[in-house]
Amino acid sequence: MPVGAAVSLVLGTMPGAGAGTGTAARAVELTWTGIGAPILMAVLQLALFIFLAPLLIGVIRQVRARLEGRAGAGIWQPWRDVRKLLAKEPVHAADSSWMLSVGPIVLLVSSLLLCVLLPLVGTLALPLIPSDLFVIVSVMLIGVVALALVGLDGGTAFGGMGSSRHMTVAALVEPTLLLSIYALSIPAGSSTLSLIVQTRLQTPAVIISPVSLLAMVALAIAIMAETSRLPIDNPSTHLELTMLHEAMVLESLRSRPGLARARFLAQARRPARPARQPHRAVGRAHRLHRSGPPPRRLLGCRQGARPGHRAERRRGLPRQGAPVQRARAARGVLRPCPARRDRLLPGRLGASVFETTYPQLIGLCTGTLLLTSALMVWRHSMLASIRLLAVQGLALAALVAVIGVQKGELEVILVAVLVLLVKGLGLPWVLAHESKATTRTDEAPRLNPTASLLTVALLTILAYVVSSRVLARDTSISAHAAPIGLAMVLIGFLLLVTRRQARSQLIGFLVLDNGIATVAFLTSGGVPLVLELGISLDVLLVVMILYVFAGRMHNKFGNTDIDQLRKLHD
Amino acid sequence: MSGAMVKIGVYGALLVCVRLLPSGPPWWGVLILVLGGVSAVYGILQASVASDLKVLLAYSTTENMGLVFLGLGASVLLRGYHATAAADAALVAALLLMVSHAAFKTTLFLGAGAVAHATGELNLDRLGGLGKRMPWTAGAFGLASLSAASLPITSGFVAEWMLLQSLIHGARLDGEVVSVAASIAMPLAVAVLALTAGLALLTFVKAYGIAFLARPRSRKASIAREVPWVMRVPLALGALAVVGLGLVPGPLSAGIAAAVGPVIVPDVRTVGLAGVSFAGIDVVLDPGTLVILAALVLVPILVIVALGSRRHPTRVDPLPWAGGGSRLRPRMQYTATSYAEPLVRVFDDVLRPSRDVEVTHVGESRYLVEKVHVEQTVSDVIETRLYRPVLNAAQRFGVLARRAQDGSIHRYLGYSFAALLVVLIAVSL
Repeated sequence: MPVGAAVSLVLGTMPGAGAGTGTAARAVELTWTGIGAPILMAVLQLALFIFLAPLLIGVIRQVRARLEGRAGAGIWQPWRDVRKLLAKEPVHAADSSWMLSVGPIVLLVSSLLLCVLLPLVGTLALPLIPSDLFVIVSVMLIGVVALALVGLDGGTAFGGMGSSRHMTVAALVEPTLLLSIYALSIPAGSSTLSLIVQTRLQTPAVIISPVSLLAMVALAIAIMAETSRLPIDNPSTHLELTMLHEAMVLESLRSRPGLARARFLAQARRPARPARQPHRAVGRAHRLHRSGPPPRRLLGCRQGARPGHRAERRRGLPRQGAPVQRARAARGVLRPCPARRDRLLPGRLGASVFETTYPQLIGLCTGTLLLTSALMVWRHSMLASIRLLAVQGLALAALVAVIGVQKGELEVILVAVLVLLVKGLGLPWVLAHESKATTRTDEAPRLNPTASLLTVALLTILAYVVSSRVLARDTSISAHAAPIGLAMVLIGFLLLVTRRQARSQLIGFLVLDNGIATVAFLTSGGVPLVLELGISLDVLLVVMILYVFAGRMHNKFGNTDIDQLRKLHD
Repeated sequence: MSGAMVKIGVYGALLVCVRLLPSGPPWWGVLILVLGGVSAVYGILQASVASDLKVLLAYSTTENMGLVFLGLGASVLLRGYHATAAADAALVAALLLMVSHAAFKTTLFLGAGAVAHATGELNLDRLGGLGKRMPWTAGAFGLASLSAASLPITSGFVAEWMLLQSLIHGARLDGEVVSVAASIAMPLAVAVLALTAGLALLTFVKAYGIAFLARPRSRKASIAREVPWVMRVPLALGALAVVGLGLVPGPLSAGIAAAVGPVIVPDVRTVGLAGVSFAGIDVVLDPGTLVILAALVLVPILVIVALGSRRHPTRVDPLPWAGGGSRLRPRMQYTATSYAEPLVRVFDDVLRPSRDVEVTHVGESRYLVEKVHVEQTVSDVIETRLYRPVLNAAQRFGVLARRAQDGSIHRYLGYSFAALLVVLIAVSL
């Protein structure tokens, strides 16, 4: 029976538990439990186990000898062996390195640390080094690694074999140890071994449970593996095939005190392991730190809010009785910014006239845009298309100007001027100028006029359906006209797909761009000047590139039929 | 590259899970946890059987990143079930693992580079005995290996400890079960962590022991010399970082907690000698105190050893024991492949090694053997069964898609137009 478990069970109720009765006793006990007791406990444990470890081996061997019918060497033989080995002369091989001297020392330190940290005699923990399960296992593994490296250092096949098998066992023992102790610590909520032991001692009835039993069996197997007992390893075998740890130990034969140390600490680990059969753990209530209140919404005002918007928002507020509460709730709502149009237009009469004609103006502009797009699909001639494009540009500029006047923002009006210059005048002029040198009419496009106009109708319907889904909540007038922009985009695409000549395709692209601009202006109420400048630049670039491109095509092929460029594939 | 570049992926995941969408559903956590766990276990398995030093280190990076994702997944999962203290601890642990991995992996790769520079060899089966010829490299590599195997007192140990604590405390909250998913996922995560820790131990004992201990296994290794001081300085700095970061986990974790950001604030404190403590899950670790304790235990032992060596000085003998003969040759030593052979046997269903033994006999005799050639290859199952078929399928699809590219610009424009129509219809449905 493991010595450590017995001792632990008997002495487990020593210092940590009881409370003192008198005040003097209480004062003494406070200082005692603070620092003095843990240190004394550690030293006591260490001394006890250094003494007991070879004794344990002696007992095991004596029992086996008696069972085999031999006299046996007595239980004190391991101590005598240690004394004998310590008195021998150390021999190192010429090729060995510092590892041979340092390795056994590291192994000894790790084993002794285990004796200090484990709750073998009492369950007091040192203040900042809890006997935490991972810390214990890692300290043990340092010793394992040191031994493995000593085995490899010898440079013989024998040591390598022992080292390899030893490390394989260690690699599989570590998860077993960690998992079984974890399983036993689940009810406790803490993986500190001293806590687990303490609470199992207090409630021993919980030892019998499926989890406990399975974990203890697993732990027993792991202990047998690590301490080189059968059936995993035979510590007294002389056959190389059956050696795991002996091979490494024999490598340190060349260093006799090293062997003494190695033998000694191999024995020292045995009691430490069985003592880790824990008993039960107690749960400790932990306070959960609740997260703070959710952050408040930032208050401010929204740009471009319409009166209709405000009404909608208020409708969404919960009906609350007290006006104070409603006011507070209202403060959480984003209020629309005060309109700035009063600053721009003089007089209130002009403002009201504009207010009434504003929807009609918007309708006029967007209608012109759609009409010109549809006409462009119908007319094939290049010159007609260019003229229609100019009209479209004018309508777009007018649209932007109307929006700008309605909102009273100078920037938007500047954008309108820019659009007029670029799209209404500049681009059509460029296109007209360079197309004078080429054929006037476009060859028959892929779709005949009837089919193409039907397609335009279908696309417009689709644009309205999509817009009604996407812009469902925006009830302003300009939002009503946004489907026009989407329809223009789709028509522009149709032109791109069905026209043959490069320049016709350019016109289709420009219609597409106009459509995008329309949607942007109508839904956002004005694009910043910078953005519009950037977009115009982009469009200009495209036109220039296509201009050059069409010129090259014309030089090479005599016309600019795109279908001649069929080699553009891999 | 290993120190910083592989972390970009983790950074992206962190941005999404921690900064952008911290209150995601728990199944995200489960998914990340599973992927991380599989990477970790498979990575370290492949590392433990690798013979090339750089392949070994690369697979070890896979394992560490898998563990980082394991921590991140646990954090997301636990946060989804409102176990915030354990979730925060898991997140800090994952980040700490990233930091420590950067430190030790950099040092390891620098060491591998030094070895390649000195010997021109990276195959562990041909190295050996470099510890005596290149002491600085050996020392730095050894310290970094300790960290990679999560042994005290390095930064890898602290990171793994923290991750384990967060997983252990994650299954229960105030004594109650957090959720069924967490109760299943947390123990499995602990199992994965423990297994990878054990296998990492074997991997790095193999890497360090075979390369730097014992005798050189080839001529190139026997003529190695220490690298110039320009290469030694980064190695030393890396090793110092590895040990230094391990001794100050408190301030380091506090720094990491501050970096996690305004949305999530882990409750981590410094106690004792720069130790770390998580008040939420009530765990504490102070490596400094552990060092002091170890020193206290060490002093008497050293005294005894010193006294002993004065009475019996060491004798150096040129003859190592070789099983009854003096024919010991360096090629008789265990190699990296043979070191990992028991492990290959245990995991042979996963690794599926292919072994080829070719025996050349002397003349016509069937009994006299002239030469035996043994070859073992372990292939990466994920690469052959997952990546390669996916890549092949993508390539086939690409070839098929090429048929749509016939050169007609109108058709290409038509594709864009059709795509726009489809999107619009889908949006309006």
